[in-house]
Amino acid sequence: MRSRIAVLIVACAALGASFAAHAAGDPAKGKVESQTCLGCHGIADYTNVYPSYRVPKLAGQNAAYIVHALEEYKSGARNHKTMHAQASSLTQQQMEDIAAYFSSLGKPYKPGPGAQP
Amino acid sequence: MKSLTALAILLLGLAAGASLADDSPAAGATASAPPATLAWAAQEFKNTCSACHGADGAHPTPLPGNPPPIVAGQYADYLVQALTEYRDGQRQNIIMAPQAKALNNAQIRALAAYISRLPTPLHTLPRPDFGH
Ligand code: HEC
Ligand code: HEC
Repeated sequence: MRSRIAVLIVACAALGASFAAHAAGDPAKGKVESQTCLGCHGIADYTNVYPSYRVPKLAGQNAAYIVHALEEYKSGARNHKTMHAQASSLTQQQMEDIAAYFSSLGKPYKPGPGAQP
Repeated sequence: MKSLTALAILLLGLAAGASLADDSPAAGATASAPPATLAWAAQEFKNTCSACHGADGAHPTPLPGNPPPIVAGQYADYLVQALTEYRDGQRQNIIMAPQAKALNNAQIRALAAYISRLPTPLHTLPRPDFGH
């Protein structure tokens, strides 16, 4: 168990460099490019039609995850008709821009009791 | 590069899986599953989910290749949807599928209720036309 974690840490450290080298998005461009997204993600409690569940909150989400999610919707690896259509019209750079903008919008909050520094 | 990423993901999965098994003598014995309360969810989140999503659900581990999201404060019904789809295979993901496999519906609801109440930076995107 302990050695597995050690290997994991080494593997993660080795990968850290490539992660940091990810192309940076431009939040100002992302703000303009994401106007169409607001029709769903800009309305509190807006609900997906079928099955019925609320459209996820995106403001404050981490940028790398947003880019990854959009890539997977575009490629079809993550299956959702509407989001596939939305993501298909975006270039890689636009995804990075939008992710930079959304992730910059996090609201201040008091970390919970489980939080670690 | 791709294979390195896959390796890290695999190892993390193994580490998370192993720690789960180490901590619970009743692992695999679904018949003796504890009641899916908020207290159970808090413990489960701490034992299992926090490894990748952060102890508070808001500081995910930056896994290269497949970065985990902030889950704290996300809508509970969306969390239920996501976890159910990972478990049942509509949303295919090699990291989350094994995490969700072991969960029954009541446990998914309890986890979603717990996670959605955690303090969070997440909110709905601001709309200029709504006066934000
Ligand atoms: C017609 C409504 C609609 C529009 C417009 C829309 N989305 Fe979505 N979006 C959804 C729904 C519904 C989901 C949840 C889909 C699922 O379950 O996978 C979603 C999910 C997402 C996710 C994944 C969030 C997560 O936590 O996994 C991202 C990222 C996203 N949308 C970004 C965008 C962007 C960027 C745009 C604009 C280019 C956009 N969306 C426009 C409805 C919409
Ligand atoms: C080994 C790392 C790891 C562990 C442990 C883990 N997760 Fe995840 N989780 C991820 C990754 C990576 C993703 C993004 C997967 C994707 O791209 O669909 C994710 C995605 C999710 C999502 C989807 C959120 C969204 O916005 O769509 C939910 C919900 C979730 N995890 C809940 C949990 C819960 C509850 C647990 C504990 C039972 C858990 N996770 C344990 C790595 C992990």
